[in-house]
Amino acid sequence: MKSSSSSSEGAPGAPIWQRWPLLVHLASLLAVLVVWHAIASFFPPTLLPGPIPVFGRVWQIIFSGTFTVHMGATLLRVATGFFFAFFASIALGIFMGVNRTAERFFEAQIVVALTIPSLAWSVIALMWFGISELAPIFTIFIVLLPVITVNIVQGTKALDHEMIEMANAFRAGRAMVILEVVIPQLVPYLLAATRFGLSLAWKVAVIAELLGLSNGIGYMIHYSFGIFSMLDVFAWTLAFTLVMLAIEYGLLKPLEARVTGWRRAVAL
Amino acid sequence: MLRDVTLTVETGEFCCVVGSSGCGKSTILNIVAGLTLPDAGQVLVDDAQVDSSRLRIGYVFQKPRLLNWKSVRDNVAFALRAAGVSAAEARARARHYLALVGLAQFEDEFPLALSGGMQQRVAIARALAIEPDLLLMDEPFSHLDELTARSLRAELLRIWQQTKKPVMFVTHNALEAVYLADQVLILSGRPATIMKSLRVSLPRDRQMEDPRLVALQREILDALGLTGANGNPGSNGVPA
Repeated sequence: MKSSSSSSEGAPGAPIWQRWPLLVHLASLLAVLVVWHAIASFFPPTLLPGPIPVFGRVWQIIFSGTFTVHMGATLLRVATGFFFAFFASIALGIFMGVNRTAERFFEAQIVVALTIPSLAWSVIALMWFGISELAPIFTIFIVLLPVITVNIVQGTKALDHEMIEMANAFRAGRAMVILEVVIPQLVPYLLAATRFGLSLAWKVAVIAELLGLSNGIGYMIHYSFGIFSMLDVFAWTLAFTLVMLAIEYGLLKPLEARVTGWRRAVAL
Repeated sequence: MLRDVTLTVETGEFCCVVGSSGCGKSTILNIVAGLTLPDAGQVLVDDAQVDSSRLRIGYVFQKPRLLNWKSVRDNVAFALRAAGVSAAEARARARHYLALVGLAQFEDEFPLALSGGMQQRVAIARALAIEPDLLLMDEPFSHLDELTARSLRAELLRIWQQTKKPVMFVTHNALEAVYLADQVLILSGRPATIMKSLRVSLPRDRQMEDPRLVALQREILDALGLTGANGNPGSNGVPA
């Protein structure tokens, strides 16, 4: 038996904005656009372009294919850096979570690594690796590693040992225990780490590109700054944000729903 | 924690171990299950020393300990697959044992959608499904309300009568022990030893209120020094 999540949802007679939450989200977006448009009318377009010209420019850069080129370059760097950081963090995080000595040993290094600003890492990476793909990928990797590791350590410490004991009582093999008992418990931590890690990775990538690369979203924002086109700065930022939202709502949220469906069952 | 604990469980016998909390009852089960290593001693099967890991053990814990991210059927199938059964056969057997405990229509539900009593029934089905050589139960009903516990005790006996596997059932509830068992072992002392053993030869289909059971319960409580008899301190701490 499942109970509904809100007693007023679907209830006839409830105001329409409670029955259809989507309307509230749309209304909010619309309000932002209207206010933006209104305020922009008081400023020259070189300082604050309104939503109509900006969306027009967004459409242009997407349609002409330039957006795909630069978005693709940034996306590749983010994906690669994130991929390596993710798996390295899981290994290190689980190791630190189960082994007290390892935890103490790496703790100092992680705290130090967390305080170094990503900008500093970007500069160091560019000086080490020159203007190459390795510089932004390394930067993303080194910025994400301590963050995700800390998250995984917490997840490992929160593991329910009674479940592991149960699995041992039924003589489950090591692989079964890890895949079916441990990993599912780590999933919420992995999801949080993925979300946070990706959002951080994008920011790091854009900074790295801005500093020293010749393609990518960060490069294009810097270029727009160089020719002092506020319209382009807005357009590239907005286009990039739209892709991020698409990933969040098209990929991460459905993934999360699939993987945590069992939580929504309610006790009788 | 334990000293000189020697006990024998016969095939087809329901054996209860009674003792107050913390005296080492669960430790005995864990040693038999191979989850804890004894400092000294062995577990023998048919008088032959056997590696605990060779015994097929069905374990029911105090809390159901179901995997909340798996469906009820997959929880039972988990134990079967751990025992080496193929995935397809595991599913089929899981269904069969869930039907046995009366939960067939809940097989696709997740544990959090079930009540505590139902979750514990799933745990029992899981332990039975692997068709174990020995069933170990660690106060499985102590976290449930008395009404649910009563109905589950009766159901456990009903199911057990069908297969008559040897059972070691640990409890702090003396009445529960005599209701369920053929043999009751009383564990007491620090370090704990088996201080007494009792035979319950009443026919099955027992009633909890049966005066003969109440008398046996009294015997256990006397032995544990919890009543006023034999110069023991009664529940008010003063010898009768």
